Amino acid sequence: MENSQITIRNLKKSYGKGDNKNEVLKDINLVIQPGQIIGYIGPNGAGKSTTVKILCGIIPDFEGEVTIFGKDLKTESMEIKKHIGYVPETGALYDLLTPNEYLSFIGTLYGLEKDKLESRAGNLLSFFGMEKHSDQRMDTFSKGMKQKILIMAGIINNPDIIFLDEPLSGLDANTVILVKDLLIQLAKDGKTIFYCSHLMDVVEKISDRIILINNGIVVADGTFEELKTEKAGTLEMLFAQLTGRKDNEINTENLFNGSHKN
Amino acid sequence: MVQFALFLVRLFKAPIQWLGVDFPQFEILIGTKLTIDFRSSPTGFQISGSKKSTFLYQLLTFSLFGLLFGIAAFSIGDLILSLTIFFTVIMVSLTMTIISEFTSVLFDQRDNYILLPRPISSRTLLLLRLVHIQFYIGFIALALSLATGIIVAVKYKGIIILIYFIAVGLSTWMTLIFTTFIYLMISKVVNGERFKDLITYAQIAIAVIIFGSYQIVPRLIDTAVLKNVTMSVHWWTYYFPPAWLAALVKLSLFTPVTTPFLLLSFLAVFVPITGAVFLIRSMSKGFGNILADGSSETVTPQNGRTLNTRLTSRINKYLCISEIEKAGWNLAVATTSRDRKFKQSVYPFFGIMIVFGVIILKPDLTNLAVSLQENGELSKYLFIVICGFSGSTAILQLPYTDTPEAAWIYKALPLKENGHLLTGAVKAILFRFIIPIYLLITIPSILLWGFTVFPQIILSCLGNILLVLIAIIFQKMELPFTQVREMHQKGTNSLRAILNMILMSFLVGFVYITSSLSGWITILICGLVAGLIVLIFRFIRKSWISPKGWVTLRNIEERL
Repeated sequence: MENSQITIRNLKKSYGKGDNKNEVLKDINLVIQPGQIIGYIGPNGAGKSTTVKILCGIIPDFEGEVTIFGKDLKTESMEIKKHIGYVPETGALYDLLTPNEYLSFIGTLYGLEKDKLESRAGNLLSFFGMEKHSDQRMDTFSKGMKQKILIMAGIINNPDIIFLDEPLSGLDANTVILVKDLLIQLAKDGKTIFYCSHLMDVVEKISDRIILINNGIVVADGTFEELKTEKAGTLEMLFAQLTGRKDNEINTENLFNGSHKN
Repeated sequence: MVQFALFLVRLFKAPIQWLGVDFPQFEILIGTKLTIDFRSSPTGFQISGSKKSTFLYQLLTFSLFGLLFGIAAFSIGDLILSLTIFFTVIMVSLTMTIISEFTSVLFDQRDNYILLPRPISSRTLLLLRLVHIQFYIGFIALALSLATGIIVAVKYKGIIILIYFIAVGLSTWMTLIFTTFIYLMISKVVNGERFKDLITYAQIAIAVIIFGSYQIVPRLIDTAVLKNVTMSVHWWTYYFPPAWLAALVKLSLFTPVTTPFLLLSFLAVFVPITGAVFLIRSMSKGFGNILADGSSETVTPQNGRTLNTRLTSRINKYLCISEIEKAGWNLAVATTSRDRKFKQSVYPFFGIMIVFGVIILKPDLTNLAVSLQENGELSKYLFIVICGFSGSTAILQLPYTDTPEAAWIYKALPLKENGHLLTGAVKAILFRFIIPIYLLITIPSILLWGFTVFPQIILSCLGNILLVLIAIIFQKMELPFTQVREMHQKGTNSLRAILNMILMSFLVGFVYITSSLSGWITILICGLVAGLIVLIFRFIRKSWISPKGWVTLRNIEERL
């Protein structure tokens, strides 16, 4: 606990009031040590992205206590944000800029000096095989190319904690391998990786610890070896078991021609 | 132009830092924002290329209006009074523009995922949004004040022209921070979704109050008296910013001035500065919270099907000629009833319409029925025609959306009849925003002015529909919800509204002429106009199908 990098106590988040109240996070408690790769998984609407947005300071209004680097997220978020990186789920970038311009923009927001920023942007573009596109406007880029830029922008400040929300979305197989290896190496260098994904095989392979949430609460927490059971030998099976997926027989004839009952 | 804006920003480096804003962050943010605006499509500053510049046209038209205001204001003998009236016009015009078109920019949450995870303070973010908006409304103010500036320079000579433009800049800044202050005060009372709803209704209320007082107050003053009157300082002058700015300009003439005028000039400089300091230092946290509210994808469930939308969705089978047209109708009903930005752009015009009603009919509350009955023929028809004004504004907003990427659906579907989507959507908006207004005024109008007015009501309604269809053709309107709301187009709505009103004045004249004809002839004209409307709808549908039609899916293709 003393060396913990992220401590979450009784984290709750809800939207609306009265009958319209929607409790997205009900009671999350976590302690995360440095250098871990955390696979944060759960079904759609379980609260994964909301947790990440709270931890990155995008959603400042929440109940409970969150400390990162020993600092209170509610009162010292500016200081915390300097040392974290975030790769969003959506293609959130200014695509009328070029990669060079965008990385320079993000780096400046972190207060990086011009020389350091230029060399770091050059290294990242080269690592992802994007150097020949560095001066092209990103509105012509494919989804995968934009995703690479988002990853670069998420780590350009050399953060101590990296939050990634579906970072492999749209990437080709070679880049997926590249990103997986990069995350493993970053963790070896002492950085904490907080990784949300629906790609169970990737999470199973790279995560030191897997946290499964469902309906706003943690339903499983441990290494894959600790969590797997006789009946659930893969993470995908474990996920289905704990989140209550029913193995209904799929009848496509009904799907397209059957009548709908409410 | 971006470099020039950055040069201006750098001049204020020290005060910006004193406000607690991170200057390097602010500099890169404003530079990036303007670069993006300028790259999004050719603007008024990049006239090269085949596309015509909407922004340049806007500035020219605002200059023309400025010239008219300037001539009117300087027909008054007293400099202080004419400048006070002039600055009132500037500040009212800018407030209306900010409320209807820049509110969405102020609280824009589209780049939350880019900006909020970075170590940027809410002070920096607030100043960024203010300066970004100031850049655009500054140009509008400059266009509005240019002609008057020339009159002032020629008439008074000397340093006054410099002080005059400084005063114009201060008026712009003062208007912006005052509007933002009101919004942030509202956010202290309510938050989240309710704040967004309230903003929409506050916009309508503010627009009505400001526009109403702007239109009604001058009518209470005798213009013959105004020409010879000299403005003196009263207690209320100290609460009236246009008078402060007028006093500041007068000061530059170096004529003997009294202490009250010195005090007013001091207020003109002091209030914008301290207002900005107060806003940035004390209220920016609330601004940050408003932005953060938009980061949640989970929202409280809302019932999107109101009585109005249910009714509108059912009626389409009688008014649409194809299933595709019905789809366009349903899409327009569902989207416009939920899109706040659409409401923010359109709803204030409903309020303005009420003000017009009051101005035109001049009701005497002590004897309402008699005063309304005794209105002149022209006022009566002007009122009836102007009722359709807000509806036409709603239709011109149809192509705009925050999610133009969704237009891929038009391209992906095996669809030849794209024009049907447009006409379906137009019919839905006509049904939601023009027809109900005419239904609402029909009975009171008949009760007040007799049944003879009925053909003119029908003709006004059809005339409004015809005008909007002509506007669609001339504007080469794109398919519904396919065009992004771009920064350089801001200001266009107010302008279009003014141009619409000019067209409407012709319609008023036409309706007035028909009132002297037999009712049956008017009904016959109505039949002809209705036939013309049907033909134009058919033309719009065909134009979309024809390979030589006026519009293609070019813009959508470019976006995809």
